[in-house]
Amino acid sequence: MATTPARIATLPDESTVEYAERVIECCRVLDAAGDDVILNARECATMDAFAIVVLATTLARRRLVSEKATRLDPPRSTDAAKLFNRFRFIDLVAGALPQWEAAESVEGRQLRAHDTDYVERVASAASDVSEKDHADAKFAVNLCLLELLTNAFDHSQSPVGCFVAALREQSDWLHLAVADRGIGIPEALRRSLPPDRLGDRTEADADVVVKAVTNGLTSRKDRAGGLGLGNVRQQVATRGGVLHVIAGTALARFGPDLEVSAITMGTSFAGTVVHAFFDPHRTPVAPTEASEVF
Amino acid sequence: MPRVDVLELCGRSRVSRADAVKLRESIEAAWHEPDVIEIDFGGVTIASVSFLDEALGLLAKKYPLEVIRKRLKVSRITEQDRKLLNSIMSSRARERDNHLWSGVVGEHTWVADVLWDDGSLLGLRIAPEGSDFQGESAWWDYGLLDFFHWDPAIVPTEVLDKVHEELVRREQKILAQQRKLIEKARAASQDVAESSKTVTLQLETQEEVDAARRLARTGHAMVTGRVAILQTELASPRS
Repeated sequence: MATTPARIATLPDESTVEYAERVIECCRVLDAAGDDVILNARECATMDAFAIVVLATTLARRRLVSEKATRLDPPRSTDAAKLFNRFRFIDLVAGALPQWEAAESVEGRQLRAHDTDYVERVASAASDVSEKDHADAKFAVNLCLLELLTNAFDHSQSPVGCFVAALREQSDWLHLAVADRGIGIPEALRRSLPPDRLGDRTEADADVVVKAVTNGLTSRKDRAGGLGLGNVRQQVATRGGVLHVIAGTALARFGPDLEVSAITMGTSFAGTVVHAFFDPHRTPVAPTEASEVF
Repeated sequence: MPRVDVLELCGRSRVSRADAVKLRESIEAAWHEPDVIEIDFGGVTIASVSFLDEALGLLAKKYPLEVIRKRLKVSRITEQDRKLLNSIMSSRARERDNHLWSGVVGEHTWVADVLWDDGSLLGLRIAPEGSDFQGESAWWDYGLLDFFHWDPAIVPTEVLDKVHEELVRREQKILAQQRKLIEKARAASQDVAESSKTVTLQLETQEEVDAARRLARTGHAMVTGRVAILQTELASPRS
């Protein structure tokens, strides 16, 4: 009897946030695939924190939601293979909870609830570099992580919690990524609209995500909240860094000097990923002036 | 002096919204006592926008900043948290200042918010309560009460009448503040006609700052002497 060939989800050679759409498409194939699917990572040469968390959440969701196994064709590139081993993708593919060990420049974890001790550790590790003064750097990383985790746990309704990864480059620039497989920022905000505002439900995901970051929108009915992502963006952008937010079909990029660009992807991500790339030790440029209340 | 100990109230957890709510409720419970309320952060880093916003930022939506300055004092807060907290308070205060009017008309509760730029009105948003989106249909350009473009299919006339009333009232309040500021400048100087004389005014409230900026932007048309607006920032709070 002829068997149905396995579907193949292919990781691109550059599996980084700069090629987010291709990584997301690979995850979409994994999401949609039946019992027999192969994650083809043979050609993958480079991965960053974004790709790690997106892939990890996809594999965890796959196992949790449908108990579907995935076969892995591992990377041939040494660097990518090291990351695959470091982040225990073999365990993830098999459906086991990965034990991600902290290392000098690499850190990652699956979280199911706030863990301030973990955040403190990541922030310390990311900021305690050589003799540089790290109080401000640690604060910046702390703030970014806490806000992203708050969003993941308070708003996302993600069945797999969230995955966090932090990778420090030799130059001390930090990749920090948090991904969940919840309802996503656009849907969370749309659900907060009153029924008579159906017209606004057709607004593109990309526009919604940009507003969520720049206008401080919140899905909370009591009008508290809404400042978190904007503050994360400020911490990153004022240090010359770049923030990417991917949710639904939205791929939004917030660069330094108030640059914003957002596109509608040809694919879709069921959840939210935020990836920050910045040097936490850099002195923020043109910090916002605020009235001194205290 | 009533004192709220953040560590005692919240433990080392600094992200729980429930704890932040407890903190705010403790502050509000002591709000009407005569003494300044001290909030002791215990030297622990918070670094959480959500926590500080819930605990204190929401107070800035309710009370003017100058009132908060007089009622609250923070102690043992890290410098980074202090800057973050000030940023949050400013953001929420701007929202509070931006709220113009709300009321029930027909089936909906309508909310009107204004967009200001240094005391000049840039835009007006009128929408049903709970609408977070600022769709194009909800914003109108509005210049100096001269021009008002609106779509009656979206907003009932009764709502617009009430919003207009409130805008006029607010404009009159700003004009009154400007007059007061000019009188204050005159009183501070023996002779404002002397071109070499510099008058330095201590601006006490956000309303005075807005009035001063408005004067500067409008070319101080109401000023009869030579009063130059050199700086319009609030002075640091006195210890």
